[in-house]
Amino acid sequence: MTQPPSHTRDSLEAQLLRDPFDPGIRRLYAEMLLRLGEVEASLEQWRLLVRQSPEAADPRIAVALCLHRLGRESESAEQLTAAGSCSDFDATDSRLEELDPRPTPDNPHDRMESASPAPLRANLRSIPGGRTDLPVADVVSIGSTDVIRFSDVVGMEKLKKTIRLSVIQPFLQPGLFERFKKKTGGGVLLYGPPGCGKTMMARAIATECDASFTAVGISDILNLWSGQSEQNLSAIFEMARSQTPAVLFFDELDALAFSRSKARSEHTRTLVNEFLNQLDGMSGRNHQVLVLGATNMPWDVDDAMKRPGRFDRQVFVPPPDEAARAEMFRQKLLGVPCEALDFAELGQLSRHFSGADIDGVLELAKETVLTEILESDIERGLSAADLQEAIGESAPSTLEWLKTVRNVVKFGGGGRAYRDVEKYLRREKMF
Amino acid sequence: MTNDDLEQLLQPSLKEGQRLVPLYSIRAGFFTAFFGGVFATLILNGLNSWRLGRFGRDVWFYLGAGVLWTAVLLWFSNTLFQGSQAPWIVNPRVLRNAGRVLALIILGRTYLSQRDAYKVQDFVGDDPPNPWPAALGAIAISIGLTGLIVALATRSLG
Amino acid sequence: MSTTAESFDSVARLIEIGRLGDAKRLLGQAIAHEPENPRGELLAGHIALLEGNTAAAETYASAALARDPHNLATGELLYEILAQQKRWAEAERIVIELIRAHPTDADLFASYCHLMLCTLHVDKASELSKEALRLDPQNDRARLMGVLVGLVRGDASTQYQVEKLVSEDPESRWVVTLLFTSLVDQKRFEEALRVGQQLLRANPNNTALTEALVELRMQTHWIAAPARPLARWGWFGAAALWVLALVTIRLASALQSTVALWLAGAYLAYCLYTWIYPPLLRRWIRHRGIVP
Repeated sequence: MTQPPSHTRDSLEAQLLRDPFDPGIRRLYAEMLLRLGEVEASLEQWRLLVRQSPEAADPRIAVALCLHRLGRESESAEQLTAAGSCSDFDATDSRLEELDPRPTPDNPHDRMESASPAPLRANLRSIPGGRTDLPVADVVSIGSTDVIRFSDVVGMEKLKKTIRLSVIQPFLQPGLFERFKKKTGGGVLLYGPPGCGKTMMARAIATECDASFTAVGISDILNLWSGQSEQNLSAIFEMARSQTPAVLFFDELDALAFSRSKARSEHTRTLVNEFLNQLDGMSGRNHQVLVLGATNMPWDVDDAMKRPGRFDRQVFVPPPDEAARAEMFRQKLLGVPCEALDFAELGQLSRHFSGADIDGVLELAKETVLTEILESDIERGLSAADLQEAIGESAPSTLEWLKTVRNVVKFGGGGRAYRDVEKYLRREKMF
Repeated sequence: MTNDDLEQLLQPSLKEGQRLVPLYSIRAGFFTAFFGGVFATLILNGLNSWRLGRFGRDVWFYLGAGVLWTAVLLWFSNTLFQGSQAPWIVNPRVLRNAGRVLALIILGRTYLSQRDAYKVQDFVGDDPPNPWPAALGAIAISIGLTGLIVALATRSLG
Repeated sequence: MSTTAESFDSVARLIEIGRLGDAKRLLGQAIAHEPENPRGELLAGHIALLEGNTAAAETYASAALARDPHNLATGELLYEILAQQKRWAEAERIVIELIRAHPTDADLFASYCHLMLCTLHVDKASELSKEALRLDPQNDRARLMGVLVGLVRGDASTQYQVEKLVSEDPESRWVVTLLFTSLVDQKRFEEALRVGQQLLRANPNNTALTEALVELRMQTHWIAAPARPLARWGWFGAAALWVLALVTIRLASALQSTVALWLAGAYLAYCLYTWIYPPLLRRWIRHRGIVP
């Protein structure tokens, strides 16, 4: 964005004094400072913008850029990864080119990145994986810099227990499971409504497995489609195989493994065939590589993907239950000025709300309170009424998904794969 | 395929502004025939033929069936109201059932001649339209027409 | 960074896999780089059509055609839009123009065949499907139309054609859809129900299919067993049953009035049953679901 000629430094500062909450003016001011070489001052302004819009990628990228120019590379990487987790993250943002880490011959991670195909290289960013003494895997821009453990995932206790038994322990102690002749191996497909923590769960699995984590999101899939898609996909698997133990996570799996029966283009079919080949591991080379997938649309994933040895374990990640929602409200409001709140009641009122929906509710409530404060000059905290009103004004985004999946379970003979969904729908009286 | 055949095939079959309305269902036809008799079924089937653009082809069949049923009605009325001992067959119940049978035969014959269109409608077409207004209208006209024919026949006797 | 052409390719693939939101975002970026490229408008038109916004789709398609009047894909898009809006005569004009410009394109003949079927011109549809198959016997759409016309006309060879298609490409969605249609047409309700469920699992948003499955389940439910003859023979069966009942009751009343009374009662009860059970059973199945 270019600064309009009418704006001078003084005029911007004066405007900010009059309206400190105007993000447009603050952005112009921050850009101006950066152009003038006042990186520290600019960083300060960008940080304020991040605080104002924590969900936006743009100010985070700018913070990363400032930190990079200040030589604080690790902090810059953290901010960049956080930007990547934002929904409006644009992988083609020109500022990213300056931030792209240059490979050095001594760094194995950089060698790996150099070996990966060009379109992938453009988007792969590294963050620390689960175990610090392991080679750090290439991780794309999903998730945050923080190491996420199961304990960080709010609620979902039963699901965590199931995953621990069926995914993590077989991965950590294959010998024990083999002695009991318990089938191990194969990938895990996490499915469920959007915004309910599938990606977070995948990151937590990687941490709990004490493995490096390689994630492929939708922007990487778009890059995969450019050029030699099959080779690009193969490179991702090779990368994971070279960093065992490794967790390879495909977010939005349906985009990469779209059902061939629905696909019209030969390109899609070829790519799915290659994916199947890679999953089959070509003579068992996927040892110590756990492949995870996540999708909102399991019905769009090719059926062959769900056969034994591939994504044969399909785990339903439901919307958070009442207790989990209450806990989410509690955690997300830590440090936010609030009046006395009954979190259990909020959990009860926000039936079917996903984690993302709860974020939306909180944003709405905060906006209401801030508007009121600015209008009346009387500062107050968030009240139960504000939150209840925000909940009333919001609609849970999971309902549409649940209605769709109900068709599969109720009329489509969903079968074993959807048994957990059926249980959930019955429990929630939605069947 | 010769060039002429291809040219013939590429002549437009649809007119600008022409509104295509789906056919009344066979279910609607059945109930109209059963409760409305011959004239009602002729009206409803005539509407379907019109929609298919084949009314000109079907009109002779409809006219023939209509004339036949009018003749039956006239004969029936004559025989019933002549005062002499009428045979058992000249009985309003028999007439009603005979009308139903003839109406169902007309429906069956029309269905068979238009079966392709009905099947297309099942496979790729729209849902059939609401039959109530047309069916009730056809039944009302049928009752009126039957009454008129009987009245005319009776008056000519008197 | 990918080129604009690659971005357009990616948009096309995102549309193919139904990720319209992602496709729109990427298309916005691609159009910003190359606003004059008619492919951008063509893809925008496809997205709008899939979102059900036919007016916007038509605007995009017209704009793309203005830039490149001879583009086949844009012409096909415009045809699809007009057909979806049921502006049949305009759609026919477009498809005829396209066929004249591309006389060996089997897809276009198949499209015209579909249009003729939708407008109940079965004879012409049959001729068009034959021409499409003559031009390209392996063309999917031509084969689909060939089988559909065969089913409509009740051709004996259609069943064989369906089986051949299923054996060649058993997982393709259009083949499965065709198989489902064929099974329903043959009144093989049990098999049709299983195939339909398979289709629904792949397309859970298809409400028409859900309703069709409920109707099929009704046909296969034990409560509907006494009504099977009617399901098999349809309204002809109902008419024949009525005539049979009429004659039998008449004959019985001439012989013994009690028997006639019982027969009349039974017939009346049967009629009541066939009248009452469908809405109740339908409601029950909708409530309970289709349990194996």
